[in-house]
Amino acid sequence: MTNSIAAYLKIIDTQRDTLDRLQGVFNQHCNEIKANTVLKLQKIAPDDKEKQAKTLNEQNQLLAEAFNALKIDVKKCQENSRKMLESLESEQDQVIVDDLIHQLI
Amino acid sequence: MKIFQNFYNNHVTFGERRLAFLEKPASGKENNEVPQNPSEIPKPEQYQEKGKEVIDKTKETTEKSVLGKAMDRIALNVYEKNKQTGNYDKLAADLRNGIAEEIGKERLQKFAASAPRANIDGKEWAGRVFNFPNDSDPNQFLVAVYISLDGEVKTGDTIVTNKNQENFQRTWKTPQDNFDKVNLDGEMDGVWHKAKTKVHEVITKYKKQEGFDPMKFQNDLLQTLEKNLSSSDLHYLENSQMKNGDQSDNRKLDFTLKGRQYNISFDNVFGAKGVRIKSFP
Repeated sequence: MTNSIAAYLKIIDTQRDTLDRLQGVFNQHCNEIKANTVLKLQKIAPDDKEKQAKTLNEQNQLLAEAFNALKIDVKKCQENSRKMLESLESEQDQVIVDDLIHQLI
Repeated sequence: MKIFQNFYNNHVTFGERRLAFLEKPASGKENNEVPQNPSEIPKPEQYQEKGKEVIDKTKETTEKSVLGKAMDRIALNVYEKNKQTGNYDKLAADLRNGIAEEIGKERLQKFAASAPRANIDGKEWAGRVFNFPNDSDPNQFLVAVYISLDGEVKTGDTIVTNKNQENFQRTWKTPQDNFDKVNLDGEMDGVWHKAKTKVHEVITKYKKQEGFDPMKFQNDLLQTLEKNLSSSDLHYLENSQMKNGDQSDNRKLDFTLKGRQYNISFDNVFGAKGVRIKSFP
């Protein structure tokens, strides 16, 4: 495999690793929010529906915030992959130019 | 190296932000309103599912884009090695073997799975067309490469077309004498304006140069457009073309530079949306 193709594939692998890790952290965070909510709900009287709903709303708000944070980080990750790709492309262009110059000399 | 450091640093921020969530009390209104029905409130599992969708989509988009670029690079290398011989059959075979060996079966399977496919002889194939215009040759060589869901690669149609043939002339518009005459200011359409501006930038760069390499110019132009136009931009341009019909065809760009005529279109080749550049002596 040529170096340049390996570099392209490396971009995919690096992004995949990062996204997998992000997903793991996000899922764990969701589970923690859920566990905290369960603890809170256990302390609320079974017939206090209003308080139960409020607790669930709070959980939903935390989950929504976490989801938004995930989307921001995924976007950053994508942006970095794009930059790496651009950098690789310009390196490749330079190689072609250098080859041409070498042929001309 | 700095790019890689930044890349790795980014997801650390998620962990920090995660901790901040845990320490921060639930913000916003005190929720004195009538509570929602608890059964209607999204559950953590639903958010995890949404997160998975966002991540899977991002993986798919990047892999498709990067693998496409890698294949284009293989095609360019193959072309450079074979252009002196004019042996199109060998060029097609080298392209097929290069893609199969360098990209690898597993990645090709993913590529095919994420791309539009056509059923050929009972098997589903994704397609990608490579265009090899040779300046010293009146012919233009097009080769279609097909990739199956199980990672098999084969070349399909290999078309050698005379650049002056009728079928090219059919879509040909009167070329402008000078691209500078195209009015960029009057455009209300942002995507179209962006595409034209980028073409204009590349042309200006090459106009200033003393020597002119048409092949390099064409590649530069193609890469610039692919880099600056997102998938949704290309989709938009393609749909605009279709909406306007072949007759008005105002989503095509025609111009002349250094004695050559160029025709850029945004179209759908084997279901893959992309930029196509044709050049004529």
